Amino acid sequence: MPKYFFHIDSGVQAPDVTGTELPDIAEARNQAVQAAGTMLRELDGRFWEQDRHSWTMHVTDEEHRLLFMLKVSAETPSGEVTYRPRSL
Amino acid sequence: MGSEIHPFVRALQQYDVLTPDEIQLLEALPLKERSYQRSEEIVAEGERPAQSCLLLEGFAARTQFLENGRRQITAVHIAGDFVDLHSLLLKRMDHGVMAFGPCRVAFITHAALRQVTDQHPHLARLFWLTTLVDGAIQRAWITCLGRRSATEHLAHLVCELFVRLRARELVKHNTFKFPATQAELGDILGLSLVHVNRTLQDLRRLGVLTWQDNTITIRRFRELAELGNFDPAFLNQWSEPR
Repeated sequence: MPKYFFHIDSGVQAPDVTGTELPDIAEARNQAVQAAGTMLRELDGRFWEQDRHSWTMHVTDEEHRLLFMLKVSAETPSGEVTYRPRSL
Repeated sequence: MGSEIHPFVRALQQYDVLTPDEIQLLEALPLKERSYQRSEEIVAEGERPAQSCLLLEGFAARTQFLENGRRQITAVHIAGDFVDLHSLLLKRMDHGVMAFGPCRVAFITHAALRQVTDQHPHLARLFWLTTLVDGAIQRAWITCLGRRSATEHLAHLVCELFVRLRARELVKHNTFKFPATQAELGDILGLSLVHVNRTLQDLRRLGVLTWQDNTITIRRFRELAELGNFDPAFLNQWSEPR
């Protein structure tokens, strides 16, 4: 089975040293989303403590080829902005 | 045959003193032994067993399967645990029991167990207590699943296993066997394979334990316990009249 590496950057880099063997890239995509969900839950308020307010997962193969990345970031408007979902 | 039930006798002695008569009675219980290979089913979900199984050697797990084929491991049992005492009263199994790595179990008929509990209220209370401790462990697991981070949860699990195994004299030089694959750990912790892998790397990097080829060595228990906010009180490991 190919090995995939899931490197996390949440202000501090947390490289994936060992990688995880998975059947294919489809499973790597599923795993990435699941892991991102639980990792973000853990990050909790600390998400806001770092300056960039973003969390990134770079997923690579064994040759360090970037396959895809997942990114969650917060943007805060600088002035007063209103937002209404279309149904309201 | 008599000494085969010894792991269970020792397990009960964690909680209270047993009289020689009580020990003799347990040793005289008719046992049917059987060995299982890794992942083999011992008791099936939905079954109505006429016997209960006691774990003599190795590990067993309680499992619940979801409609989509995924599963949750709801408990891990160690040698000396009366894994399936539940079926004596529950009748219909709401979960399955499987071999977690190779294991050896002894089956005791419900008829024989009913006789013990009818005639020896103290033993009946201790049997009851073992299922209460199972419940206490379950509560700790729910709290971990719902509220603890992956690192806390894994640290808590390793501490729990260590303390339970140590009480049965199954730990040597802070080292014990735990035959879980990362996928199985995921089924215990409710985490994806990738997150399990990451969490293991974190614990290794902190130097609190080593975990290789199904063998865990605790390097710094206090630090590990602090990481997992682990307090062993819920395991009820002290002897007093019950």
